Parts: sequence; C-alpha cells; structure tokens
Amino acid sequence: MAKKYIPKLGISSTTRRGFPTDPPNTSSLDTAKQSHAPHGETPLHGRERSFSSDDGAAHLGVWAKPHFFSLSGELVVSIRRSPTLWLGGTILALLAFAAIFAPFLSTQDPTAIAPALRMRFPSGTHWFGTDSLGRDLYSRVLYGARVSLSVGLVVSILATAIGVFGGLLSGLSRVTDLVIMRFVDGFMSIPSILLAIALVALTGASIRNVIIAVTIAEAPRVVRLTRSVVLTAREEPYVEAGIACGTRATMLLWRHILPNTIAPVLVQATYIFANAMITEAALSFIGAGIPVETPSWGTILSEGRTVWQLRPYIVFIPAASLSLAVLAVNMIGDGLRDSLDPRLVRRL
Amino acid sequence: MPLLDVDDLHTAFRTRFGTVRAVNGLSFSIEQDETVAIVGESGSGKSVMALSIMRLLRAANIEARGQVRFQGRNLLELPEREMRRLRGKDISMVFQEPMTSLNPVLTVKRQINETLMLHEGLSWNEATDRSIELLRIVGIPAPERRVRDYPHQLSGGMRQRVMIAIALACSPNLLIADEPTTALDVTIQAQVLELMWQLKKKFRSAVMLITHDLGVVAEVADRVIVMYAGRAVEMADVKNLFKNPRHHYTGGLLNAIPKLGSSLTEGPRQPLYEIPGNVPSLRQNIVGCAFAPRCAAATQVCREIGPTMDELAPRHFAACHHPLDAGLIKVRQ
Amino acid sequence: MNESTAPLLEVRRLKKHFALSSGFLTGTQQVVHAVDGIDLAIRRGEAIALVGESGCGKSTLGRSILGLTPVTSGEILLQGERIDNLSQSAMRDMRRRIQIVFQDPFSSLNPRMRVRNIIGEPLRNFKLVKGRKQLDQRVAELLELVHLPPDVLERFPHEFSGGQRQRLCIARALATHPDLIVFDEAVSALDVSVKAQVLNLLAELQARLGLAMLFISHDLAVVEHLADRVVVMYLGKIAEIGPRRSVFTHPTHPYTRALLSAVPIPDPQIRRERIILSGDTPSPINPAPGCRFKTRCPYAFDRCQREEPALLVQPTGQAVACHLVAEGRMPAAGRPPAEASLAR
Repeated sequence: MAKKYIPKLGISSTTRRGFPTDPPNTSSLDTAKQSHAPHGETPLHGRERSFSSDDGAAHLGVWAKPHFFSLSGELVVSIRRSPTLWLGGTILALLAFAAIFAPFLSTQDPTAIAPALRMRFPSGTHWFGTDSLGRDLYSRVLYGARVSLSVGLVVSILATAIGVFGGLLSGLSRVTDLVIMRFVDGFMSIPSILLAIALVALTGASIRNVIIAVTIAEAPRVVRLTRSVVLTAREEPYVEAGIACGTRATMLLWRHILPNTIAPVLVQATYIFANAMITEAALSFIGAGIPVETPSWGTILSEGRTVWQLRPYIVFIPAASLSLAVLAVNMIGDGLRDSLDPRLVRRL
Repeated sequence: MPLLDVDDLHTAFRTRFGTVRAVNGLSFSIEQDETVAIVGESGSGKSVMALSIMRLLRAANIEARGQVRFQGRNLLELPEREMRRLRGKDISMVFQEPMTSLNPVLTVKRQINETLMLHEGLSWNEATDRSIELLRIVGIPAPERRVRDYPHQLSGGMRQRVMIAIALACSPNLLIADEPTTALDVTIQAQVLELMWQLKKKFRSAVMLITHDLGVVAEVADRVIVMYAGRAVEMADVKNLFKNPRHHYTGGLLNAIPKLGSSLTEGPRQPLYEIPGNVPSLRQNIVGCAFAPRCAAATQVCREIGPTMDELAPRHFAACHHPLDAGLIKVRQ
Repeated sequence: MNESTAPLLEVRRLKKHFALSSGFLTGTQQVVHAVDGIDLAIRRGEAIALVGESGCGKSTLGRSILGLTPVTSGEILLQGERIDNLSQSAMRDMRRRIQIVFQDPFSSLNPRMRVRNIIGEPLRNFKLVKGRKQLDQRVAELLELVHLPPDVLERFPHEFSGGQRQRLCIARALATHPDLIVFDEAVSALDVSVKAQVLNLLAELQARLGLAMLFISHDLAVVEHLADRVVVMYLGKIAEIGPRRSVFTHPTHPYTRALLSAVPIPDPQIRRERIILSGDTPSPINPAPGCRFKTRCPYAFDRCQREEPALLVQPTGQAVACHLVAEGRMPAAGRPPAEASLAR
C-alpha cells in the first residue's frame, strides 16, 4: 500500500551547485507535441485511495527539482542553504548593530572638536586615534556606519518599489512600454554618479536629497529587470489559463506575474544597496553629498585625504569599513541569487 | 556472442532527497541485425538506460554499476577516450527532439561532416560528398541544396531524417533510437518508420528502439522488452508479446490503449481499462515485485520476494510469480 | 429550430490570418492562413473532435473560440449571440460558459499557487462563492468530480503527478459550470495508462454533466474512442466532417484515408498496405489557389490545381471537400486492413 506522505514546508529546496541542472534528454518530456508525464495515477476505484504525494514530487527526482512553495518558504530554505548568505548576513548584522547602537558604543562625541588632541595615534582613549580636528575617529566611523547603511537601505527599498511598479506598467502594454523605456534609456545613459551630483547640485546637499538622487540613478535598472521578467512570465501557459478563466489584468499581474519578479528583484536590491553606499561615499568624498557636519565614511575619507601619509589609518579605516559593508551585502546578494536562480527552477 | 549484452545494470542518482534508482537490475541482450524495442512509460528508466550505455551521463552524483558488454568489451569500464571512438562509429544514437538535438548555428553539412571526419578520417570535401549521399538515402529531396541549410530551415520530419543520417553516417553496429518519432506528426511518423525499416535492411545495424508507443513497436520491432520501475518485466518476440502477454503490466498496457476500430462495435462505448495505482517512487527501495501494489493477482509472495526473469516459453521471459495464462489477453477488469 | 436542437456554439466562415511581415520591403505580404473559412456547429452535450496534424489550425480554432486570439473574419455565436466582437468585460462574462484545458499539465498550473487558489480562481472571478468556507466546499466538490481526494487543498501542483495535474485543470475548467469545454491536446502529454484514466473521466463527465466538448487531438485512436462527430482539418480548412462511425468506417477524403492508415496499429499480425504520403505538409503561408491537399494527394488532377473543393454531404453521412468525390470517381475503400493497396 502506498504510504500517505505529507511533506513539511521548508524541507525540500532548490538545487545545490554541482548537481546537474541541465538534464540531457533523459525522459521524453519537453517536447512540443507530445511529452510524457512521469507519473501514474490515483483512481477513485480500485484498492488505492490513499494519495501519495511522494510520487508526485518527482520519483525521477533526478535533478532535485526545486519546490515552489510560498515565497517565504523559499526564502527560509535558501537562507539555510548558502554559506555565502550566512557569512554576508552575519557581517552585515554586526555592522548594523554597530550602527544602531552607535550612541552606546561610541566613546566620545563624534563631532566634538578638540584641536589640542588632533592627529593622535590610536590609544586607550581614542581607539582609532583622532583626525586633523581632534575628533575621535572610532566614534566617527561608528556614526558613519549609520549614514551609509541607512542610505543603502532606503535607496534599495525605494528604487525597488519604483522599479517594480514601473516594470509592471511597462510589461502591461506596448504603449506604456514605449514611454517608460524611453525614460529608462534616458536615465541610464547618464553615469549614476554624475546624475547624482547634478541632482544634488540642483537641490542642495542633505541626506534626503542624496537618497533621492541615488534612487533616481538606480531605479531604471530595476525597471528593466522587472520588465523582462514580466515579458517572459506573460507567456507562461498558466497566465493564459488565468485569462481563460476570467481573471482581470490587475489580478493577473498581482497573482501570477508579480511573484515571479520577487526573486530576481530581491537579488538586484542587494546590489543596489551596495551601489548606493558606494555612490553616497563618493558624493560625500567630493563634497557633493552629506553636509560635512554629519560624519560619513565618505567625509572622513575626504578629510583624511590630505594627511594620509602621516596618519594612513585615517583613510584606511573608513575605506575598510565601506569595503566590508559592500562585501557583506554582495555576499548576501550572491547567496540569494544562487538559491533563487530561476534557471534551476525549471520543470523536469 | 550477442552484440550488446547488458548484465545487471544499475544506475542511481544520489540526490538530496535520497538515492533515485532509475535503472535497477536490468539484463538483456541484442543480437546482430536485430531490432529490439524497449517499451515503458515515463519513470521506467528506459532513457536513462540508453544514456548509461552510451556513457552520456556524467556527473559526480551518478553511479552506474554492472556490465554492459559491447562486442565483448565492458563499456562501463572503458576509458573516455575509447568510448569517444565508439560513439558515433560503432554505437550511435538518435534522440527524440530533433529541434534541440541539432546545433542551430551549424549547417547540416557541418554536422554530418563532423562525424565523418572524426571517425572515418575523411577530408572536408569527401565528407561533404558522403553527406549528400546520406541525405539522399534518408529521402531528403534536393540534398545538394539542403545540405547547406540550417536546422531551423527544415521541417520536423526532415530534421529527424538528418539526425538519422548523422547516426548512420559511419554504419554503426548498433543504433539506439530514443523515441525518434514521438515528436512528429502521424503521417511523417509513418514516413520515418518506413525509412527506418528500409535502412535497417540496407545498413544491417542492430536497432534499439525506445518508445512508449506499442503501435510503433508492432510495426518495427523483432523483439520487445517491457520495462517497469527500472527493471525488465517481460521479454519476447513481438508477435508473442502481443498475442500472449504474460506479465500483468504488459497485459494492462495492451488493454489500456484506445485502438482504432472501436467505432465498429455496436452498443455503448466501453470504458478503457485503467491500471490502478501509481508508478512507484524510485527513491524507495522496492521490496518484492515492483508492480505488486497495482496488480490484481498479487499475493504475499509478490510483496516479499522479487520475481526473477523466467523463460515461460521459448524466447519468452517474464518476471512474475503468477504470470498470465498463455492465450489470455483480457486481464480481469 | 426549437431550443433543444439549436446549436450551442456556431462558427461561421471563420478565418484567422497572421501577418508575418508587412510586405514593405519584400513586396508580397507574408500571411499565415492558420484558419481559412471554417463552418462548425456544436450541439449541447455533444463531443466534437478536431483532428489534424501540426499546422492545420485546430489549436488556433480552439483558441479563437475561447477569445484568446482575435479572429480576422467570420463569426462565432454562442446560443445565437455573437461572441467574437465583445468588449473585454463582456468577454470575461462569456468565459463562464466556455472553458479550456491545455495540453501541458506542468505549465498550465501556477507552481506557486495552492490547489485551493488554483481551482478557486474562476470561482472568485465570477463571485460564485462567498467566503473561505464556501470556497473550500465547492473546491472539494470539484475535486470529487474528477476523482481526486478532497483533502488536497493545501498542496502545490508539483506534488501531483501529470495525470493528477491534468485533473486539476479539468476541475478548474468545471468550476463555473461551463456549457462547453475545449480540450486542446489535453491527453497528448500523458502516459498510456494515465491517458486511459483521464479519457474515462471525460466520458463520465460528459454523460454526467451533459457537457459539450471540443476535443482537439492528433491521436485518431483517442478520437475514435471519445468523439460523437469528427472534423478532419488540413491547412486551415475542413477536409472531412461527419459522425464518428461514418468517418472511421468510410473515410472518404484522401487525407483522412492516409491519416488513418498512418496510425500504427498495436498488433503485429496485421500487415496492411499503408498509404505513405510523400513530402512534408506545405507551409500555411500564402497558400496557392486550388485544393490545399494537392501537393501530397495521390489522386490530384487538373481541377484540384485551380479550384477549391466545397464540402459536400455524402450518402455515408459525412461531408467531404474533394473534387474526385464530388465527381463520384473516388474508389471505394473499406477501413484498413481490408483496404486495397493505394500507395503510389
């Protein structure tokens, strides 16, 4: 008798690297005209009434078919799988912790100028030493983390939201596509830093304007990505089946197409996070970003530029922090991408 | 000595979900000039078996055990270099999907020439001449022009003919055809089967035809091997298999097919015979007969002890503890 | 015509052409004549089969009826009302009454949706249920109809086998109590044993629910088992149409005969002379005048080159579009294997 098997959510997962992902023509599936389902049937009559999902989930199971559970299930599973994700996540968590608890972790007021103490080497009171105005470098770096991480986070959220919305609109009809893509082309033809500089020059230097500027520079990429996902998802037979059973266009987008966009967009969002941090630091470095009073890794770098031969750590420490943050976020992105890669997610 | 002698072949895939035993103790042989049809549904392991024989399954997690003796040599133990020499020359394969089995960016000429130049050492021009000749043999009109076409310029039937031409280019001893006509229209299928029938005589290759279509089997095969869950369950000459199926699965399959001519009978339409149950999961270690959960005649013996392939009549083998009586085609509904 | 015999669905002079290129640079416009003048009527509870090979337009016809492809010319009437020229919202309402089951059971179900939501989608679209409890109840009823256990509402499509997934698709199609369901090669992708189960299910549903079915298939044995009437299509036109028994017992059109003789018979004892057609199916792009089948027909003569044959009703009950038949010169033939050799 076939056993009754109830799969637990989260146990099965996507394929791991190293497993063959492109099966040779092992079974007669994937043909245009006649393909053959790998499984038999459970009839109502006959002795077998129990439903064995074990068979359904690929007794061919050869290519470790990924399981499309709900999105949250997939995320949970992918987090468990990837060491890159773990490592990146841990580093980012530590940095975030430092940023959030900066007031408690810092030893001095980061903006307190003490000319008498300037250019000190690292010591018991000043763990990273002081800069050319006597401010404690350690505290400044901690507060700088706040700026970078918050800019990165807000920009990635905003750019993703705008980008997905634009991409969905674009995939909806040829007309909207034409219009939106021209905007996207326009924005993408300008290097993002120059675009950000121009926008900040127009609107003035503040953290809010920096966020807006970088968002505008990054959103077009997400629009393009979403649009391409929408265009492929639109052709899926289950979308047509949805049309055939009377589903409205908006519902189609929401229920059938949008879920397909989440995985690639999420990965892209992490890269935007990283990019935004770098752009903000660059802007602040050249003085076109955060106002000088607020400590930011970029401004610290900028100030240390003149004295780095005497006190190289003034430049290296913020640079290393930025690199670490970017690395952590990129690792998260890579880990997510490997787990959620749609190429691995094809039917048997 | 048989041309191909498969002896207790096991092919398993180690996956996260456990070991999938796609081929589970398969033994059969093919003689020279014989056309053997391997019949099975999805999940029977027939395609994996063919790929194992050709050693086309290459990944760290795939394990093939057993003996596959081709002209006396065990293919599973051959170094890759030797195997490459065999492929395309002594054993060649025709795949199901002509759309994806031909390289879309190379001309037909290039693809056939590749085989000829590699195995027979012909020059480009010599190979081209031979390619045109081959295209003519497989029935493609105006082969001199066609040879310069790309696959997308050909129809499905013609692409399959090109595949057959490539496979036969070096006059292989064994031709493995994996569902060669499944993706084709019925009238084109008739043409291609007719072609294969003629070529079989002309080239004197043994043919291993893998299919699920019992009609095709009846048309083309000399002998039939029925596979189920990675094992062979019945082997017989084609006439005997259809007239006297001894294994319950074979009987079930024969009854389940809708047959032409059903409109000739008077009275209400009869429902088709359904084989109850599911194909078993290949991840589980199956104890006893793999078909027992679905078999009307299964007893305790069937669930505990795996049946061996017994010769129930001359050249007619079945792996069943309670085989169907000879002459009884209708299985109990 | 009173209510009960009036056709449920009528197709009149339907044409669907696809323009491949505008002809701006190449001179002649490339137009694919997928469906080129089809007249068809489906009665309530009737099972009509559309048979033909690839490129004959049967799938396009099915999709045009569903409104998934706009028609180029002609009319489609559902109980007397035109449905081919409706607005978006009116067409959505029409979808309650005509449903479709697609060929591939793997890709026609959204892998991220649970069974409850998949089958519930049409129920929700047309507000046929109120609240979760009613939804679950109705979905369970539908699952019962297609012989699936009713407790699988939480599952995802990948947990089912191919045949079970196809049943899910059938259950979804039944959700709105449609008058007509189009089955577009719905069993072609299934294994032999599974095919039998689904075919039996379809026959049962037809009998039980009085469902009209448009069954599109290339598999003649399946068609013979299931259909009441058979339509044989070739390159966008109807070659032969008639009751099942007439078409299978007395196939008259040369294409029908060739098609029937090409089907491999699972019986090695029967050795029959087969009609092997020469050449490939010609392209449906810018078809030449005259009969579409003339390039492969063993009987083609001069009239076939000039004139398109009209569908004429034969004494055996079916309508055939062939000049030779119209002139009464078609050699008689029984069904294979009693057929005399016709191969050239």
